Amino acid sequence: MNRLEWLDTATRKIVFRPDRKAVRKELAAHFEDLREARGLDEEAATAAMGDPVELAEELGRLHRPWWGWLWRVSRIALLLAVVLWFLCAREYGFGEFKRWMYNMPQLPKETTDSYLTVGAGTVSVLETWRPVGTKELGHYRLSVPSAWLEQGVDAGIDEDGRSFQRPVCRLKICLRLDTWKFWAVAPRKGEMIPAVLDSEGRRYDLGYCNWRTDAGETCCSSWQGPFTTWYHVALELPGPEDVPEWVELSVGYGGGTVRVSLESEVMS
Amino acid sequence: MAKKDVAGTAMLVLALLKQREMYGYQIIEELDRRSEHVFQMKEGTLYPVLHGLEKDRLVTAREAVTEQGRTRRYYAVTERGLRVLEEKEREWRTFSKAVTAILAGA
Repeated sequence: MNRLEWLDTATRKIVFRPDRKAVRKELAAHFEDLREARGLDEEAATAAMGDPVELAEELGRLHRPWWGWLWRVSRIALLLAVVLWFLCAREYGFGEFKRWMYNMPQLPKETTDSYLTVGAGTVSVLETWRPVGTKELGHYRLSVPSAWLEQGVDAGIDEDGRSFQRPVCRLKICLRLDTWKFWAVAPRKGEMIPAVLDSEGRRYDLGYCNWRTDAGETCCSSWQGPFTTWYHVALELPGPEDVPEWVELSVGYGGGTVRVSLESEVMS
Repeated sequence: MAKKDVAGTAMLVLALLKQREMYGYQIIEELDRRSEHVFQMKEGTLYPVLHGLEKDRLVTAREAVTEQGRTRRYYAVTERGLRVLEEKEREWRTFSKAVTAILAGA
């Protein structure tokens, strides 16, 4: 048996490749040290190294692959988790995401439920709807998971720096855009929903708004994750009795309109 | 190699590494020299012992490149390894004392 055959045999039971390479390298260095120190030829040195088959069994028992694979998989999983987190927090950051999600009822709420808005005002959810239906927009799928009517008091700071409180009633519509193309940058809120028309003939042109300082303006906000982007459209109504039968949203991406019928809870 | 042989060899290796860090061939040579050729191992059989010690965190290893461009792995004993060695030395002294006593009375 020559040196290479001896090394191959001695390390063949080490299944995890990086470990096998490292051990082979160490044994090869020892082989050279032995030959040099004692002036042995390859055959004599191979014999002095011992039985490679027995050595392979012991080394194979010691160098279990699952530890190595677990270490590699956990490093890759951690890297993926960091990348996904970064993608999810890209638009507004994780803190904003929590506040944003907190403002959207995930489940139907009782009409007497109340929760805090950003800005320390208080609102109550009077009614919720769950429209069914989806619309394909290129590689996106649009749906309207929920809409709700909220009433309460908005608190904020005006332009002169004075704090204020005012009664407010809003119809909020949550839109969801799903795509498998996680790398795609979703349409910006202004491009996505430029305008809304309701059954009462009211037209809402959506501009940029800051919930904390410009409370009361009709506005749209969004939050983008890797596969899903959410939009909240907020339409200020004169009062809770002024809920329209339907609202029609102009969709900037792909063109066309989306009609959300609150009465029949259908999106088309 | 029998398990008790490995355990005995492990203790000897730890005792050598307590003096200074060494690489594989050095350990074999020191074992042979200091035991006056009583402990002569087949060269490759040292490595399951060394890798087992490393796995149990009784030794650590680092790589260094020689002038000839050969990569050697130097092993050094850890604090944990020193504690285990101390315990094994105590067991050995107890065992050795008992055997000597019996042989003396025979």
